[in-house]
Amino acid sequence: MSDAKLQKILLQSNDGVTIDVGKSPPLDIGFWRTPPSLYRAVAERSVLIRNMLEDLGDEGIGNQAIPIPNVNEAVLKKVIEWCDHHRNDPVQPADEEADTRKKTTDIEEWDQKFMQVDQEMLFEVILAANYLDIKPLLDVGCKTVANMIKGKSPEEIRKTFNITNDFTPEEEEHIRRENEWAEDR
Amino acid sequence: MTATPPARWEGLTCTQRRIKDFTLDDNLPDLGTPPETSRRHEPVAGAGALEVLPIEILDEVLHQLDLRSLTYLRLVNRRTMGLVDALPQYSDIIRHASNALRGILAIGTGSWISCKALHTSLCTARCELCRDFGGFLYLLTCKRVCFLCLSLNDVLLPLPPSHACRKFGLKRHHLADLPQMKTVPGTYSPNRKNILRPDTLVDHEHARLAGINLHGSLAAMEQYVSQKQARMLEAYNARQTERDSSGRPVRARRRPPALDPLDGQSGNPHRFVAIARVPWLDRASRRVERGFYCGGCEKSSRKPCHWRILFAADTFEEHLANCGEIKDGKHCTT
Repeated sequence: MSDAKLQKILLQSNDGVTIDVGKSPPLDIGFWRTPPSLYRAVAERSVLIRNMLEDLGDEGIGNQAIPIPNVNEAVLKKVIEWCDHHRNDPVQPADEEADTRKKTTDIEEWDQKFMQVDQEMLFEVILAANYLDIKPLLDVGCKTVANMIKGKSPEEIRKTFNITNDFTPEEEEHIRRENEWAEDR
Repeated sequence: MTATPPARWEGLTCTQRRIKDFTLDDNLPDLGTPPETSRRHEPVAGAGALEVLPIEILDEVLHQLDLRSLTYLRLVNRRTMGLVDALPQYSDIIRHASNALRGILAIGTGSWISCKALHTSLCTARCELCRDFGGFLYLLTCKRVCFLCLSLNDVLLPLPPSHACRKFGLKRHHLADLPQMKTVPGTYSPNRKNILRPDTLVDHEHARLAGINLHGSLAAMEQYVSQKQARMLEAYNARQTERDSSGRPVRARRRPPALDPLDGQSGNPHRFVAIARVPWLDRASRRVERGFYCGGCEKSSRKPCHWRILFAADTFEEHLANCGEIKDGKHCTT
C-alpha cells in the first residue's frame, strides 16, 4: 500500500458523527499537523481498523465511513489523538512473554498527560482501545488504573472507585488480624 | 504435591538437619491456618467503577500491581478479594510461599516487589549466585539463594545505613531510593542472636552500585573511602597524642569504626532478617521441592560436601557423580 497517496479515512462514531482522521482537530493540542499521507499510519495503530481498511481496498477508502459502533465521538477523537502522537512508534514484538523484565508502571510523560482525564473518560478510552485493538494504548490505560490503586489504603481505594465494603464485622475483624503484619510500621 | 527424594535414595538423604535457622519467617507471629477460600461468602457489592472493565482488562491492571497494593486491594471488599485470589500467580504464592509474602510485607519491601517477581523466584530452583539448589529467598531483592551464599556472600548481607555510607562513600540522601527494609525484632541465625528494635537496613549490592555511580568508578570510590578513613584515623591519633602529652583534659575522640566489622557469617543475625525458606515450584510438573540433605555429607563442612547444602533430584545426581556413591553414611571415592 502506498501512503504517498492522499487518502481520506472516515470513521463514524456510535452517535453518528463522521470523523475524518486527517481533519478532526484533536481536543487539546490546537491544530492537526499530520500530513495527509500519514492518515493511514494513524488509523492503522488500530488493528481492527487496519483489517477493515485492507478489506475495503484502496478504492473503498474515502468513499464510505467506517462505522465504529462501540465508541462515541469524544472518545474516538481522544483515541485518534493518541494514535497521531504515536503513529511512528515501532510495532511491538508479538511475543509478549519474551520480555519478562517489563515490570515498571512507568508511563512516558506525554501519555501521562494524555491520561489526565476524569475516571469515566479513562475507562472509556481503555474500552475503546480494547475494542479497536490498540495494544499499547490499552497498556498505558491499565498502567494508569494500576497507578490509581498503588500506594492507597483499602479505604482510599474504596473512595477512589466508589466501592462498597461488604465484609461483615466478623470478617473484617478476621481480615484485620490476618493482615496486621502488612500495616505500615 | 510435594516431591520427596526418590525411593532409590532411601537412607542416603534426609530432609532435616537438627538445627533451627531462625530466619525471618520463624519470627513472624503464628497465624494458624492460612487464608482459605472455603469460608468466603458471596460478594454482595461489585468493584464499583472498576466493574466497567471486562475481567481480562482487570487482570491486566492487577498484573501491574506490586505485592503491597495487591494485599491492600484484597482488603477492599469481597469482590476485589476474589479478583486478587483468582490470579494464578498470586494463588501459587499463597499456597507455597505465603511465608515469603508475609515476610515481604512485614519488612516493608512489598511496594517494589511485583507478584510476578516473587512468583518467578518461587519457580526458580537454583541459587542465583552459585547455581546450587537454593532453598531460600532473600526478600530484600527477591532473589533465590542457598544457605552457604546467604551466610557467606557479602551481597546478601544487608547493611545499616551508616555502615553503607561509610563503606561506599555515600551520604544518607543517596540511600533514599535504594531497596531497604525494616527488621522485625526477634531471634535470628542458628546462633540465636536477638534483634531488639526495628532497624533500617539497605541492600548491599544496590548501595555498592550507587557508590560506584557517584564516584565514577570502583577505583575512585575505593580511593575516596580509604582516604576518608585515613583522615579520620589521623585526627583520632592526633587527639590521642594531645591527650596523652598535655595532661589537660581533652575530650576524647571516638575511634573511627572499621569498614568491615566482623561478619560472623552464619552467626550474623543481619544475614537472616530478610530470609525465608521457600520451596521450589516446578512450573512444568507443578510439584513442590523443599530440597533434601545428603546423608554422606553430614560430617563435612567443605564444599562440595558441606553439610548445609540442599539438593533437588538433579543436583543430587550430579553430587553423587562428583563425590562418589554413599556407603555406610560416607561418600566412597572409587
